[in-house]
Amino acid sequence: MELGALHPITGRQWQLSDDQSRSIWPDACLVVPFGAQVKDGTGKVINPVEGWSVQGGWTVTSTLEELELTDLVRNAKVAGVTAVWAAGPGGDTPALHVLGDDPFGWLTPHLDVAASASTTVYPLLDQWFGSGPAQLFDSPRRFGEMVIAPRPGQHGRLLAAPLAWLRMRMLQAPGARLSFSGPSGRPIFVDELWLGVLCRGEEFRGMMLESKQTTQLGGGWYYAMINVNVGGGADAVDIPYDGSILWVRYRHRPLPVQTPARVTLQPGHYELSLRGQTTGDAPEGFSDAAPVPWSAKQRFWVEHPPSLRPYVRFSTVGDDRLFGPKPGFDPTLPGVGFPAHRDYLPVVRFCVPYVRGMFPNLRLELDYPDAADVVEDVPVVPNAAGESTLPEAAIDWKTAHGGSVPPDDEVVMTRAMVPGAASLRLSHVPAAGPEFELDSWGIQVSRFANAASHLAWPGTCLTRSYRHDGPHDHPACETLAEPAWSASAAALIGGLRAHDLHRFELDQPAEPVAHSRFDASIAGALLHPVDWLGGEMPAEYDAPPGDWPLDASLAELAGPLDARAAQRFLLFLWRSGVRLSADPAAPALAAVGDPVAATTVEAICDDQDRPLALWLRTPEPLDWRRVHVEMTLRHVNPDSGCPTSYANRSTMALTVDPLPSSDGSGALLLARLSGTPTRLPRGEVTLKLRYEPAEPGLAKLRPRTPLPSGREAVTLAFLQPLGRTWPVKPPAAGGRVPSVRIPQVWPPVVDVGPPDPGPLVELIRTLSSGGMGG
Amino acid sequence: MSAALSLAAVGWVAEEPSGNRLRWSLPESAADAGRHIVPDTIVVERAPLDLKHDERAIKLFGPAALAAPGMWEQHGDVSLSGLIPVLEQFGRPVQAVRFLYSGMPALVHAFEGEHCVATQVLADGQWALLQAAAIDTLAITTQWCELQMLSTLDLYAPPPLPFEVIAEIDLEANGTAPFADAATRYPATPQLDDAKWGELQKLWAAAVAEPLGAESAEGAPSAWQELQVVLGARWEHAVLCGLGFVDGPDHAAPALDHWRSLLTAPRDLAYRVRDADGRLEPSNVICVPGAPAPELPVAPAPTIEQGAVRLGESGAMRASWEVAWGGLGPGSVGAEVVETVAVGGGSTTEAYAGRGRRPNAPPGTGFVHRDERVASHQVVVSASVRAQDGFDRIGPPGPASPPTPLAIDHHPQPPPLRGATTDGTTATLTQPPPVDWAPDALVAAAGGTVRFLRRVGDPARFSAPVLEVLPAGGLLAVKLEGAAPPDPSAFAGGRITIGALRGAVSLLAWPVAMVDVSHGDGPVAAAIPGATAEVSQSPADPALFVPVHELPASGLPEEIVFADPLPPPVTTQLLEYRAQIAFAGLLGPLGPAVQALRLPPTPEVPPPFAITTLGVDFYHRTVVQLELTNPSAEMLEVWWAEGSPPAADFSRRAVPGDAGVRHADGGRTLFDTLSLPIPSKVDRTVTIGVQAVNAADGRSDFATVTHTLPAA
Repeated sequence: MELGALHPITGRQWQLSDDQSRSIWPDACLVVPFGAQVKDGTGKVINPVEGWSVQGGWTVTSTLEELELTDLVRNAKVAGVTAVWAAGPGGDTPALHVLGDDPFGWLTPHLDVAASASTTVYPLLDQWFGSGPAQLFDSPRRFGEMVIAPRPGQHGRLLAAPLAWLRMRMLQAPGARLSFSGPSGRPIFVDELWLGVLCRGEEFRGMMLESKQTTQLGGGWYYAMINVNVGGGADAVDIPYDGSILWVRYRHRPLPVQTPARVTLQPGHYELSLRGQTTGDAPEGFSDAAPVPWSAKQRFWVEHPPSLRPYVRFSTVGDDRLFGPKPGFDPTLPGVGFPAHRDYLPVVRFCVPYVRGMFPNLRLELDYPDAADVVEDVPVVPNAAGESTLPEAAIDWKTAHGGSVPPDDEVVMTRAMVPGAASLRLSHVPAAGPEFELDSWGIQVSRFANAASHLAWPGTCLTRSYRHDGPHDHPACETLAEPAWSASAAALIGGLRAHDLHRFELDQPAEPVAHSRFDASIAGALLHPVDWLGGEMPAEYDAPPGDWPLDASLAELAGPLDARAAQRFLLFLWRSGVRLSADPAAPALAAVGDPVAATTVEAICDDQDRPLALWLRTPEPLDWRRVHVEMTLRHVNPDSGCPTSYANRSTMALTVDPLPSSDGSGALLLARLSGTPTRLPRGEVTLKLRYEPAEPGLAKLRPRTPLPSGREAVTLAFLQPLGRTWPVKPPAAGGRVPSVRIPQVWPPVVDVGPPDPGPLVELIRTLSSGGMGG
Repeated sequence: MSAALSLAAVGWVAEEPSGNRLRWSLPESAADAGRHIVPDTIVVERAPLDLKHDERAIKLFGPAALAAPGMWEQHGDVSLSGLIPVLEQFGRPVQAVRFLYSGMPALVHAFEGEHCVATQVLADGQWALLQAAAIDTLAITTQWCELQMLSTLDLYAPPPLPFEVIAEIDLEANGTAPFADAATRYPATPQLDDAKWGELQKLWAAAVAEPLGAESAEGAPSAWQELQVVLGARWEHAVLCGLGFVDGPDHAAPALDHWRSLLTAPRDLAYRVRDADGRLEPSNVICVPGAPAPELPVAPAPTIEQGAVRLGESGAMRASWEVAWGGLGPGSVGAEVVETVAVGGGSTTEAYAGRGRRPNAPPGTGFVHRDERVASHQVVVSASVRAQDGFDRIGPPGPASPPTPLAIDHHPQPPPLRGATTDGTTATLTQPPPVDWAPDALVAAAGGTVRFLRRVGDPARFSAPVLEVLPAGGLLAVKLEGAAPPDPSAFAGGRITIGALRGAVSLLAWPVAMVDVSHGDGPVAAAIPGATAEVSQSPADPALFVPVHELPASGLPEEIVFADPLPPPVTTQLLEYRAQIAFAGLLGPLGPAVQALRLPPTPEVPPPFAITTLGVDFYHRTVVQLELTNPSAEMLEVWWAEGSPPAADFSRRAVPGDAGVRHADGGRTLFDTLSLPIPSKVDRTVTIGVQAVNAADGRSDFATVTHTLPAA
């Protein structure tokens, strides 16, 4: 028997050898390749099996009687040694993983296989009674693994079912002994037992036994499943049913499973020894075979892994693609990754919970070529979130058997980072001996402390746009003042709330409240006099009308982030026909890849100066997978030039597809209305940018100071004076909505009644006279 | 029972030898010193009887038919109830049980020991009659019923009758008696002669001397079995051997036996035979009415069933069929069959006796299995039958069955194929060496061909929740839920998986699938309602294939080349071919698949292009724009190498850009991000190449352009 070792994290394999140059790693499993799973006589196999099989009528049983691991340096048995039958696609495999602690752990580097792997689950089995002639029997009779022994003096009966289409026999053997055994008589324990019975309706109604399911078969016959209690498992029961049994459903009882803690070896010299024997129980009329002993012994060496790289699950600094394939959007330079914002702690998460068993502390060092290094000795600790990399099947298996799933280890650097390119080094400083490096990779530390400052733009008006004839710079327009009616409405709502007559939720936009609904409420009746304040708002298009949708060649480039996002960015600019350079001799997209000095927002326009997209540009790449953008636009007056006031119209809510540039330092913001990519109208644009440190599917970033909302947010509000005003929907095409901005609140709901009109009347008078404005 | 003689009678026959014809048989398993007990002398007894019309208005036949009413034992009305089918144990085995049934519809099973010997469907208010050589137990599949006027008939223990001896038959003389003496037992012209009697005597001697249970080699009958066949073939043989007797007026003086007071006219009588030495128990009583025995009926036309022409193991064609008849009356034991078989152009007519009867078939029915070597696959059979009883009577001839062509039951495997290739226009299939496949005799006789088919569809599959599961014989009936697949019948012959259960779909008549789980005697994995069934069409379903070529089955070449034009593939394509035999209007099964790989053509080298650098990004990568001089519809990839390497070295020294493989925008424009060296003080030269890539990752040579990066 040739023994090997398998590193459950990387899948690396060794042939066990007493050659120190072929040392295995401390957390490797020793693989014992059996021909078939064997019975455990040591108590060390955590998922033991019965280990017998029927071969030519003989019941062959192999039993593992000794499993020892000896530390040859300390001349002591290694305590807590366990072994596990590895799971694979289709069920258990005959590979015994010594030092393994769950059947699925070895599949960690093969998550696709792990998804389809399973431990052998004994299925429910159905034993029928065939379709032969009717028969009586009074001696024990075998049906597969079942033996029916009629009660003394009574017949067991096999009779054709009374429903011809069933075409099978049924058993009647009241009180008979039902036992389960292999061909050699070896008992089989079952932990679930059901009788599928055929009975008349009146009989079924009189049944006292637990019945799981019933089916009416016609002719007054029922089919029912009757559960037979076998406690924790039994190899024989007395049939508790006197009627007709169509079949018996049962399940082999699995042996109990343990979930011990994992043993990680220390560097050193070891010996694995195994011993057991195989026996053959003869069928009736033959003699048992003589036991055949077998054994194996193998010495091997253990050394620390030369690098921690296989154990790293992710790093919040550097290129996360170094630690495993990460398909999809990532336009950064391989090996560098996105610049890390300094308000986030560098975290290196491992994919196992026992790195601290090998290295209790690690030295983290940010090595800057042109600045002082940042060094910190940190403990290897379990991650506080309790996360584990184990395949789901392994987690399920452990928890299903009463075990716990230890969180993976991690190291966290708390010292402040300095902007610039650097290397992150992980080293081990042993108690004796020189420090040795375990891993390192390049990182880029951002000049920005956080994403909010990275995305922040102080501008209040779009001043630069690009058209087919090159860039255009416009003077900034002045910020608009809020109209009086808007402030009054806010005051009114506050007044209503203070009056405690109605309940409003101001922060949640709702569908516009139809005037009729509003009128019908008490509040509506009371508020009616304020209608004149601003007049009614016109209805709005719910999809881009006319020539507002983006051309198909541009619209097809919008969409979720993927590996082709950079291409789509360049193609959008190319197909839009804009020139980025004022130099007519320069290429149209000259300097498209060049970073900007500071964050800015610009516009990509068509020939008529109508914005096709906004271009949010920053000095550094940003992980746009974490950025979520919402855009609203308030319409303005007049229809050209600098806006001077807000139009009395509903605010447009647009969804935005960011289309990052080829290095991720900027992104085109493509607006959609009702799913259709659209040109942007004139107006006041509000961009709400949300940065998710814990975006699903990405490494979780850890802020130095916890974020109250769990995320960063920045709002950019600016005037967009280019292009045309969004058209008003013709009156015939839709209804009207109230002019007061109360459509942004939930419909009033009477909490208590009747109202006391006194304060409201005063309030309304006040509003009518223009008071309380602020 | 096993040690008792068994007696049968037909009643008064007017034809020679006239009288009441009797015959009896020796018990199969009665032995003394390991040999069959053969009495030295059989005593034939007769008792007068007053047979009256049976007061139960039910139709009787078999042993119950002639029994006098007084021979039935009355048990009155018997009510039975309980959760289990009712069992009625009788004191000793009886030959018939009858009752008027009252209860829910049910089945009654009559058992002799552990074997079920008779079954009848019961309906409320109807008479039931169960008859067998021995019945000791009844089991009724209901929880409550009443057996009204329950009666049993025990022919071995009838009420006392005034028997008198009418004959003493000397069986011991069989071994030595000359034929003339033996012939005195048969008062008519015998068909046997001296020589055949001599053979029969030898067989008798061998059977009597043979140990009980002796077996002959290779399935041949033992002497005892052979003797029973000879005795059963004709009543005359039984009479000559002292195992039959005619109680009538034609007898002359006996040469071997003694008889007296034989009948001269029919009377109501009871007969019994016994062993003079008492080593065997007396026979059952048989009642004979005082009237001529009823004539055998005109036989209806038989049917030709299960006809098939097959290829035998020797490679020769064989035809097999069964001639089945019915309506010959309960007294018949077989039929004389006149059969005409037409093979190819000629036909032959043959007459033979058929005595086969299936275990559960009623009296008056029977069949004979026929198996003949034939020279042609075209076989037509017709037959007529005449009833035969066990007393050498033969009924009138009946009409013949219509000529019935026998179906061909043949599923020839096609020639094995080793491989397949195709250039998109011509396909070539090859046979593995040695190329010695030849059609079998049946295919050759039918002028069969080999068809070649190409797969044009993928096996359909669907998932559906399981609603109910019930076993039905060797199959599982699985009721599924949800929307039916477009063509449920396409899944017949496919596979179904429900958890651990895997089986073949015999039939899918939505929403029920009949599943063959082929479990033998052991258990099968349970299919639990609520589980999901995964159903897939057989990959060899002929509906997935179209024929693309056909050749005579004889003389198939090593390489089968045929036109099979196909559109050019856009990606790697795997074509699957199979062979199939076509013969006599039938199709054999599809053979194993061979596959031909088709790759899309290697794309052409992209057109020349111009390079524009568009700037350097945050990571100091250069963004470039490439403009092709001519549009290209291919997928393209941009690579670059430092310097200006020779064209042959470019692919080895170059690395791809970040953009990967894609189409050029408008067929002309490519953008990419390349990690080009950043010149500082002197210009740097790089070579940029564009390669066309097809969907199968087939790649063209590079079109290259040398480009200079100006110093900063």
